[in-house]
Amino acid sequence: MTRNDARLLGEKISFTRQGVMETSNRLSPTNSLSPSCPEKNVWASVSHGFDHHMATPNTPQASHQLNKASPALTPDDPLRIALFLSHPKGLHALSLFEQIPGIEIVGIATQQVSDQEPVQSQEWHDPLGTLSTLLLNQTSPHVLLDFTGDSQPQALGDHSQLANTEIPGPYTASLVEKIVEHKNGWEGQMAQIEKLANIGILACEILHDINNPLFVILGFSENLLEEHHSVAARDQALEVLQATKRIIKICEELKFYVRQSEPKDCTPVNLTQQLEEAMKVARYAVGLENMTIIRTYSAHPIILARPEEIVQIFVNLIINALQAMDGRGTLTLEADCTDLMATISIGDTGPGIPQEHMRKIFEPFYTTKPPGKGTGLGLHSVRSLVQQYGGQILIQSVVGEGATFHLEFPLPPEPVLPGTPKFPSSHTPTSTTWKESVTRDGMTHRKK
Amino acid sequence: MLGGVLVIDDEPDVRRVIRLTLEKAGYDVVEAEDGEQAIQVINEGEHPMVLDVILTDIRMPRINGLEAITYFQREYPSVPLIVLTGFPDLAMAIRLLDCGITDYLVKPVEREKLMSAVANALAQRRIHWF
Repeated sequence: MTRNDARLLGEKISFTRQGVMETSNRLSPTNSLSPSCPEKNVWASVSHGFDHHMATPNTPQASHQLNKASPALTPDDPLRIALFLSHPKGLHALSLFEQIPGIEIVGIATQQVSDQEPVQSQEWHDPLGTLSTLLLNQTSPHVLLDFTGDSQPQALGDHSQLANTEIPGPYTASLVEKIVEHKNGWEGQMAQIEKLANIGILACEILHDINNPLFVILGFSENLLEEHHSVAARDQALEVLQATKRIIKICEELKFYVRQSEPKDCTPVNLTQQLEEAMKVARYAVGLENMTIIRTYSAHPIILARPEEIVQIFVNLIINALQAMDGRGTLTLEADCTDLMATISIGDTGPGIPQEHMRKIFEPFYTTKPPGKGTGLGLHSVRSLVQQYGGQILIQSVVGEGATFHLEFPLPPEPVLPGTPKFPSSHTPTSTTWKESVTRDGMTHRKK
Repeated sequence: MLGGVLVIDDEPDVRRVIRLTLEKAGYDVVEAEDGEQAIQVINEGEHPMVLDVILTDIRMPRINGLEAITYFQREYPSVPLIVLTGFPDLAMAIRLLDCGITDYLVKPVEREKLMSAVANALAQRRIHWF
């Protein structure tokens, strides 16, 4: 997708004094197009207005007629698409289009957002009447895709404005939806492949952590066979027991990570808790003997999500951070939130990300890691998952000093569990900060 | 006493089981939790001549096993070194053996194999004496 109309998409790309900061695509709540317009009402009124202006452009016949009139695109011309969306299919389509080079999203309108996600409704709240004027008069889309499924024709305004805009019919919209569904299914499988690939990448360190307690078990067991003193035997048996428990703990942590995600509804997920879960797996990325980990949890925000997917996001980013530092450096984990937004930041003191790599790092199979250290799917998967939750990623990096990935997730404005206050206590700033000299078997050297 | 063995490993339970095994077999054991402490032990502790074999892990905080090996090979070239690691890395094993370590053992290693490696290293040490 080209990025000509950052205003419409809510995309921000800025270059800070310290380094490059890039945001992923999303609609911004600060969209300049009349943000207070009540969406449902506007949609209804414009739909009503449309009935008087247009015949049935959404029929295959009408599409065909428009196709014949459409001027041909040169290979260098981006295909300009405007979207009328409904949640979630339209958002999934948008997410797919954003990843396709040569497609430019020139405008978006949403019909309505599900009642369960009012924050997202605010996030995606585009005043349809104004936007449709913009879409047709100013942005001149080649194609206008309607994913609303509305049996009434789209609110497209004056027919005369559509001279160079194709409006594919409902069958085409269904076709695109099916392609998107297929692609999403493939992405789900890819996420699982990514998890298993990560285990492969982490295998040496996992082996290391299992081999040590195995050696303890083996050694003490061999000694126990010849031990005649009951007190000494008991001490050695205790050592065997503790080492066994260490192995069980490792297996449990990995089992939680690799289990296949089931398609299920989102549940309240504490982000810092999932960050810690991710850390249990990602710590195998490199030896942590000379690594410092600083955690600053100013809040413990809760969002509605699937825990396995949130862990997957964090595991990928922490692995990247640890690998970037190659065994020596400082990993920074931060959590914060406002009334509407939760932010998780994962920072490293590695070599940083050069500006020329910034645009490529989210592309599938793009990696700068040596063979066996990365699949090139990690950040692509991270971006897909974050966007799925209506979030965005900001990257801050100074070459030679490190990189920080800031993940922003919209918070649910209503109680996330029955009986919980509007803003759960977990949102209350607690300002927990500790520095950790890492040991293999846990967080034993904390300094507040 | 068969000989003195310096055991370097950052995990206390690993050091304990090695100590138990070696002491039962008749060795004198000195422990260090990383390369830095090992260098202190060997320089500030007993005279290095009582040290016959160094048994070291690789992955340790501060001065790791590789750095410690380089130090010991430079300062105490006649003391044989055995690597005992939980990290199976064939390329590193070949590199270290080329650099002159006596053995490269991957945990979990059975007592018989460990004792055999220490005995062989000790025999090599004795050859240096004569």
